[in-house]
Amino acid sequence: MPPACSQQTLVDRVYPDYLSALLAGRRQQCLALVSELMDADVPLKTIYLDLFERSMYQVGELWESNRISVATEHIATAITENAMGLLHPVIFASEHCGRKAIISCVANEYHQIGGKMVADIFELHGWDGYFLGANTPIHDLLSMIAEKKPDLVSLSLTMFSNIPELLRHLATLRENCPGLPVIVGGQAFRWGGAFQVEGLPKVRLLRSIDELESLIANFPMGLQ
Amino acid sequence: MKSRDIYVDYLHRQAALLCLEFDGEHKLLRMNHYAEQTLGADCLGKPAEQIFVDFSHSFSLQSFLDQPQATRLLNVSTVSGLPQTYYFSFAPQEVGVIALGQIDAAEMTALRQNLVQSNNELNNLTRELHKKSAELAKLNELKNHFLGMAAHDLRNPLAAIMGYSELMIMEPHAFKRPDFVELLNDIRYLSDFMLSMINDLLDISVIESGKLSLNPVPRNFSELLAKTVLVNQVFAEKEGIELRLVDRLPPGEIRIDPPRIKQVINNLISNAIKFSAASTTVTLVASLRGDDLEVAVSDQGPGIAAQDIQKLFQPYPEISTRSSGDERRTGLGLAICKKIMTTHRGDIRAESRLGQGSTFTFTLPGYTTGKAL
Repeated sequence: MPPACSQQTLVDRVYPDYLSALLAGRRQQCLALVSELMDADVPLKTIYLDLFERSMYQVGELWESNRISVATEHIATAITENAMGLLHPVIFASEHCGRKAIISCVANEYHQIGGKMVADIFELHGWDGYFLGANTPIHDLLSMIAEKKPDLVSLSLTMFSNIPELLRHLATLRENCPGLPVIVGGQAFRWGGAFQVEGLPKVRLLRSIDELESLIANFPMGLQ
Repeated sequence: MKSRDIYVDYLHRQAALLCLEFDGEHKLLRMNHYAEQTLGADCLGKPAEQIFVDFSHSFSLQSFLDQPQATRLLNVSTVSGLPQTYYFSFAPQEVGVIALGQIDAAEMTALRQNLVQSNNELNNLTRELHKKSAELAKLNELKNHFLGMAAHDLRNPLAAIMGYSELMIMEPHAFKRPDFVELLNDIRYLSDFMLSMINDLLDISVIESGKLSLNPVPRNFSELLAKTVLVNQVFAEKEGIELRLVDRLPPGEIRIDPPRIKQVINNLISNAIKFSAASTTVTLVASLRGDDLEVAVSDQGPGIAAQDIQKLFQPYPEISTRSSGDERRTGLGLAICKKIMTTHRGDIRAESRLGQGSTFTFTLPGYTTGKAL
């Protein structure tokens, strides 16, 4: 296997082409570049962080600064989700440890890539990561909790304006499943909202995939 | 530049609006930049019925001029080969007609939202499909592994039975040997094992094909439990294990499929005995939790590692705990129990700690107290 530094260089080399293909809506080119990285044995986490996350953050910034349209952002999102699918055979081949997590976006939150990445990271670490998708009403989440009896629930938030909805979800979860640990995270917290969730019982705000991996490694520590 | 000229210039060069000017014969005379990009420059001079897609073959521009203020939904042929829909209004001129077509912004927004939602759902379903596919591949691998093991486990006892039979055929005086009964016991033990393995294989094949059906009847559960425990007493005594029943159920009945529930109880007791050392106790406690009947089977065996607990009820589990007498087992029994319980709308779970024994508990809903049976 090539050393990690050359794999990182490979991702950095591929990145500009990937981003321009992403913004131009060239799906096949994006998929081909991801396949190239997989063939070079670039670790999945590196592809997630240094290609998918990095490019989607940049797409978000371009949209926020009115340099690309919302349609372009939607196409980039669709292509990224397609590209993530290429990695599923690797992700789902992990040996399962029996733990289960339910990952969901709150009602009115239509950005689901962050949540899906979290679900995939859980799978990669041997958990069952049940992803409920964008805009999930609280009663659907509660039904899934009753059915799957997860060890943990993860709520993903991209739009800061959805913080009140997140707080409503957390209150309902506390009322219905008082002992169930909940992690929250996402781009929304760049703008604030941390103080509203930090300190809530059994709720933890995670700011990165590294923090998520640390939590998984030490679970259930740190979720009291 | 006058404000009117600014409007005209904007409409001509930049606006995402089809501006089509037809002459007196309703042929395309002029168009703006957006129309040229959309319809193609070679449209100039073409009659209106070739510009607009006419599914009725009775297209008439003239008919639109009777109500020029009305907005009409019309399709136009485009350079991409795909028709596009625009909302048109028509303005009659002294000679000819001007047609203005625009896309409904609200409709496009709804369409995009719909596409985003469909794409999300499709991606999530694809993810589920990939997950299921990986699970099936793993299960298939386990099944192949298990089939290899089963074939091996069936071949060995068969070989032994054939060997014993050969001995009896070749040496008739063997019938008088003092260890003859022991040989027959071995044949019986090996045949029992093969039969139980084949029964488990048949059960799991019924379960995995989704064809497990129950014949529920009202039954006095305490009676069924006592009889089943009694049958197992002989096996426990043989291993020097005390088998205790603590029945805290009030008189009553429950709708169950009795042979299937007996199968679950037998399996749990048999496992508890297999994994217990001599001079220990296996205890069954039956009680009510609300309307749910609960039976807990506890042993004082070696316990099960935490990472193995979740795998216990899966078919073909590969777990590390070994039985006390190293008895043979198929590894299918608990998966069968789980399915029987869930088909009864009940459940089964295991709790254990290494070195501290294990407790398997099953629950069944709908216990009715106070009925004389």
